Amino acid sequence: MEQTTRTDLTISGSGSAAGGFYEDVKVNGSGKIQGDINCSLFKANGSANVYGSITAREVKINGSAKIQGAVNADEVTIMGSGTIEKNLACRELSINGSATVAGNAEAKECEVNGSATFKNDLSCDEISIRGRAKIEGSCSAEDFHAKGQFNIHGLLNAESIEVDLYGECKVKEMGGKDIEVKNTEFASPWKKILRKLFPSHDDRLTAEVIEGDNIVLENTFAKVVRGNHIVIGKGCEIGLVEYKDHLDVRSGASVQSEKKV
Amino acid sequence: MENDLISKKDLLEHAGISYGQLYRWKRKKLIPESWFIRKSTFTGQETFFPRKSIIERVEKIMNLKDDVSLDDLADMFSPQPAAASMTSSQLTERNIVSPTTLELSTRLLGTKQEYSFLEIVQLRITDHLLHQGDMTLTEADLLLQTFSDHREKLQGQDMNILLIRKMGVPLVLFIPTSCELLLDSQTKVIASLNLNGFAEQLKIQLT
Repeated sequence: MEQTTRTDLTISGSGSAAGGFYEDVKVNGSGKIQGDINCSLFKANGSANVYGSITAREVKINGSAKIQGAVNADEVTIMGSGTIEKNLACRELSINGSATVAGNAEAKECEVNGSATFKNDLSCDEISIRGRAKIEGSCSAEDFHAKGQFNIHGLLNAESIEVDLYGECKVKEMGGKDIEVKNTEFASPWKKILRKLFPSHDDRLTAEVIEGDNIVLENTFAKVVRGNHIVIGKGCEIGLVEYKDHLDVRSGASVQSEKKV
Repeated sequence: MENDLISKKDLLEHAGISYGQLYRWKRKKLIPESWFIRKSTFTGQETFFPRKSIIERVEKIMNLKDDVSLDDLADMFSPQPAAASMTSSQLTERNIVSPTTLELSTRLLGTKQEYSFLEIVQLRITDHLLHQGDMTLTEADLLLQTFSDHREKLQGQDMNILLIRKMGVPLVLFIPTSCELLLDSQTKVIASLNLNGFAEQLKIQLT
């Protein structure tokens, strides 16, 4: 493989090309790429269909792209609509448009500002959700920060979980060291507007099990909460709380039964 | 499956660890997914672990964690597949191969003291296809026999395993993954499986 002989590939009208080694790949019109691509930059401004995998430094999807294989890249930015049929591995993943990853997704940093669907597991160092994320597998991270909606079908496992409730959030199980779910009420102007527009919008988190060392909850519906130091705040409905060191049930919260273990 | 289980609560108490630590170790894959056994109790969902394995594992982690990074520990706990071999009772106890499939194999190929990693993978594939209801018992015999006949050739090779039928006559084919097979329209592909995929799955389960 000679790095120096790499050329650019640009598809401007409608066309198709073979896979292979390229410098920059740009699809401006409608393009089909048959085979795996290895390039520095992959940019889809129009509509791109890749029948293979992509290995690149940077992948940018501004238009719409469907990748039948896996994606391995340093940076992946999806502004338009992107579908990845196999695994995704990258350092920085930012989703501003809409994205679907059918395989497992792995990233150091992941930012979801648009809407994302992960049909399998998502594991990252840092995850920030400001839009809407659906994770059909499990989600693991060191830092999980949400200011949007999420629906996690499996386990959310993170060292630190911080949730600012915006809309309805769901997770089957939640575990980690520090877990904080806050309902910021009308503190933020955005939320004020959102409330005005969608009055029926419920800001709450529903979970079956929440386990952690330090847990602070608001507006949370859970069957079981277990931990060392637990604060059950306003708007919570909890079936059972098992705590080791300390439990504080604030006014406006309902706890059916509690047990010190 | 081990019968003697310990609840998560008792484990934390026993080992003197916190939820945070346990979840961190799970995240770092120091504790295999298959050890987390979820059960419904009258207090709701609870998680249990196979007592002996988890206590051993937690003690090891506690002893080593100050000297070795968690990532290195994870590598340590991932088994070398070639070294793994199990007896038939271990296979059924740990729920790796169903008794039905083992019986089938014993009837066809005789009793075995120990099964090698590759043999376990082959039994698992047979097991899987039988459970899916794709394969008949006679075809399972055919598959097991074919595995046995080509044991040496399968060593260290990645193959796709195909079960096809034409007019009710079954055929078992092993083809290298790089090959594509084109068939006539009357031939039906009953199952197409990847040997390495199953090997990987087994590796994870044996952790």
